[in-house]
Amino acid sequence: MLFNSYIYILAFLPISLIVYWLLVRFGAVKAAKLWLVAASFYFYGWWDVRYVPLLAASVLFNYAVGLLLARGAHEENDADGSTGGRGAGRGADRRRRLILGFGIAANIALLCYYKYMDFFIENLNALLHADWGLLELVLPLGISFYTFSQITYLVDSYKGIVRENSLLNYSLFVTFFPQLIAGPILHHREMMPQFADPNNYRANVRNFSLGITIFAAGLVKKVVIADTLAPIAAYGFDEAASLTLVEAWMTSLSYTFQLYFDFSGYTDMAIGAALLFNIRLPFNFDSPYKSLNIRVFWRRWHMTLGRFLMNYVYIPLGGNRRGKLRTYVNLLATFLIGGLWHGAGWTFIFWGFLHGAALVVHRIWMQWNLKMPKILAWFLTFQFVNASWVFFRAKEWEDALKVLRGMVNFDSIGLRSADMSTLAWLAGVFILAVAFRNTNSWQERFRPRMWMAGAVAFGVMYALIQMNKISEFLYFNF
Amino acid sequence: MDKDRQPSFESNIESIAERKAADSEGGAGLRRRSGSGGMRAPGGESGGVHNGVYGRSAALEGAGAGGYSVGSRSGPPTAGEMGGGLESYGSSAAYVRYLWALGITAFLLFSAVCALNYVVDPLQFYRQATWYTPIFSEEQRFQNAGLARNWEYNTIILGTSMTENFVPSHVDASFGGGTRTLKLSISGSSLYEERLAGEVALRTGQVKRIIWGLDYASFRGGKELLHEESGPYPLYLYDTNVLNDVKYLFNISTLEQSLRILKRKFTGTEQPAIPLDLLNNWYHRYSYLFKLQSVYDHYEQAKQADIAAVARGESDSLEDAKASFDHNVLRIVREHPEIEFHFFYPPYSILRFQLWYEYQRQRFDNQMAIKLYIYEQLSRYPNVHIHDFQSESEITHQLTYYKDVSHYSQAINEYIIEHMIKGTYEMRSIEDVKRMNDELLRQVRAYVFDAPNTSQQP
Repeated sequence: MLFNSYIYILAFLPISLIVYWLLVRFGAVKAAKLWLVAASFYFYGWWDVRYVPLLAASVLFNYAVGLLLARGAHEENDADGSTGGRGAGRGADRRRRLILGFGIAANIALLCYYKYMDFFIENLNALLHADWGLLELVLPLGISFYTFSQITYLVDSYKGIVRENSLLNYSLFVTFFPQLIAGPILHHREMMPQFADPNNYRANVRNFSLGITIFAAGLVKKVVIADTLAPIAAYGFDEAASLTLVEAWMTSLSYTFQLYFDFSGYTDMAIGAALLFNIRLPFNFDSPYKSLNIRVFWRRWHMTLGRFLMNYVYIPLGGNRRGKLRTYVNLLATFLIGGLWHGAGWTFIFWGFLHGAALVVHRIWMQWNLKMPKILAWFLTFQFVNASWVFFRAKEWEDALKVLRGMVNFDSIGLRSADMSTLAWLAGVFILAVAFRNTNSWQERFRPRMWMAGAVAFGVMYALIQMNKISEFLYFNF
Repeated sequence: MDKDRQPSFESNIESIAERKAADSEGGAGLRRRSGSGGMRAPGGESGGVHNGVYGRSAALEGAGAGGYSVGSRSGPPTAGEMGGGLESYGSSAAYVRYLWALGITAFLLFSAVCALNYVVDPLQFYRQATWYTPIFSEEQRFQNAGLARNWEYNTIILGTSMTENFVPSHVDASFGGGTRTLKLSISGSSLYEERLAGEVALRTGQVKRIIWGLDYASFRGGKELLHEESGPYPLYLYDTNVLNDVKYLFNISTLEQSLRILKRKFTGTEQPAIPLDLLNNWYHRYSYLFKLQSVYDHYEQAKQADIAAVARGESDSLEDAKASFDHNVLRIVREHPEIEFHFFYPPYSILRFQLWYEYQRQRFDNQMAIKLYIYEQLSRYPNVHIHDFQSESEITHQLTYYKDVSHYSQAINEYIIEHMIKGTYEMRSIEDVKRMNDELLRQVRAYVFDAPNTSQQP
């Protein structure tokens, strides 16, 4: 069930909301939480019921490991009063390390099995000229997301930052449906206090208004903007045999903006829906295409993934404290993993490599302490990001190279044959992405203005009506 | 802000991450703002600015350890923080008014769109257009429901593109006796899609005769196959549920079409509607393709497609085809003894049969076998006639009748109707079925295709 579907907007979300608030109203907070967990599992099972047990097993497993880890941390803290994991008995420490390692390994193994096994087999086949059969598993929805957020939970439990004694609360943290399938990737410590806070079980019209508004903004971003750009990108990447200069740029820019409006729109819908339950999810995008350098870009693009990679990959690798060279290696390694996380394919890994390399270059540049005009800095950053998305999107290397070749194809410019309405659309969304405030700052500035209510109503209705489109049944050769 | 406290690093993801690393190495336990304390309750102050030692015991109690904005400049304030003091952002009543305004506006917009689409009704789903010149949609899956609901007829035509060139007035004249024919063909349809269209017509209670072209291709792919490759099937137009018709009324395509109709109406630019006799008749549109070269060219394409299908491991299941027949055709026959049924097997060119015979033998054999099955199922119904044109070499060997290896011209459709009435090709016993199958098999084996060995020309 997608957020931008009738079943979600008109049935699932309203029903889960009404029942939740009714239960809360009658003082049955525990039942309300249970209801939310049940609704979330239903939400998950709607897509493929076979994977409901997988999600349940993942939750149970990590909860149990978390308990073991937290118990150890507690004892150590009691033992010597230190805030760290040190000083306690070495044996206990080693045991906890083992548990943590086992927990993380199990999570990653699950992810690898479902997401990377076929990729691995394919490469092995190619390397050894073998012909092992692929598993052809359907990727469980959101597994990349809930695996990562549970890994943070395990690490934080190990460090004694969090502890969780309620399976219900823990299940709610992992499965809470607004964030279940596409993030933001949450930290236990930012969610649980919200579920524990009695104030959050009081209806709040401001949150409600804001939630609907943010949800509507996300819906429009996704349905009206991203879905309009998608076929343009799809044509250029997947269908066209060759591209003129203008077509190639339209293709790559369409995808660059499609991805942003799609993903950030989806996040907005998640944030908006969560607000209806008085839960605040972290921001995930902060106008990334306004960035003046690649580091800033990664502070603004998929922020919750960025913080995961930094805190749970880059830092454990040693961060920047082991010399320059090691820092560069760490950056590259972090982003190679980041690339692989996005999908099982060499194009994703290469995309991660490009970003890691760009961060290294930026670091060196900073050390030389050189200055660059802002507009040039923005331009270079945006062009780099735009070009790197080409690898991210392309299904085959050939397609990526085709688009990139087109982008420098000065022999065939194709301005005259260009589709003007597409150009106008791209210009519009470009301005929207780089010159306007984003939905985060709407949240900060939100006031209940009447014109805003009208605009939101119009936006929602416009997005809803788009979903009933009479599609052409293309049938070649009858 | 981070800069002030950590001047040696740029304020970015790494700086905070690195501080955290330093911290976990037993460093100075740097304090951080908890300004982004996402769990602050609405109505509560986001006070206690420095109450969180980053990532340590304080977090156990959850006090101010929200800090989701690890990489962000100062951490965007959250709703919780902003909720601190409703009065500074407007009173509760203002939000309630906001929600009411939003809801009412949305409802008014919704109602206005639905009302407009109901009044114009561009697919003529509720009634035939009276006050404007209709624009028939060529998306048959959308248009057929309205035709079936609101026109007067006693004969319907069901099937794929093989039935699209039937001309209703010709059918009327040929059958005579007050026959009024409505064509509900759907190009590339599955049996299930054909059944859905037929059922809308049957519900009107006026159907006396059904002419149904049986293409084996429509039997394949499951007994409830809907072609949704390019978008959801408009089932709401075919069922008896009035409520889900809102998907037709609250529909951007309907709205666009309504506005187009109104614009034409009020700017005096209406164009005459396509007569139903010719709606979706592709013979005239593609008449230029009826030459040998197109057939030769298409032969190569079809061959490659067959080879590719085999390479994909595509198989053909007679059982599935039978199930689809039972589910979509047999049940209608069983329920309607009062209706005269004419099923027919369309005469594709001999090349089409040869290609199947050569590259998809299973499929070819099943096409033969299902005719026996269908005859066995239907022979007990006196109101059912089955006509097999596939072994008529006078048609199938004359490639000039075709625009590709399977699609024949309108003349053949007329021939089919005329001989349907005469019963020339009707199967009257199981022996007829076997005889015709044997004859087709003989032709497929005997026919020598002498295509000029030219490279394909566009």
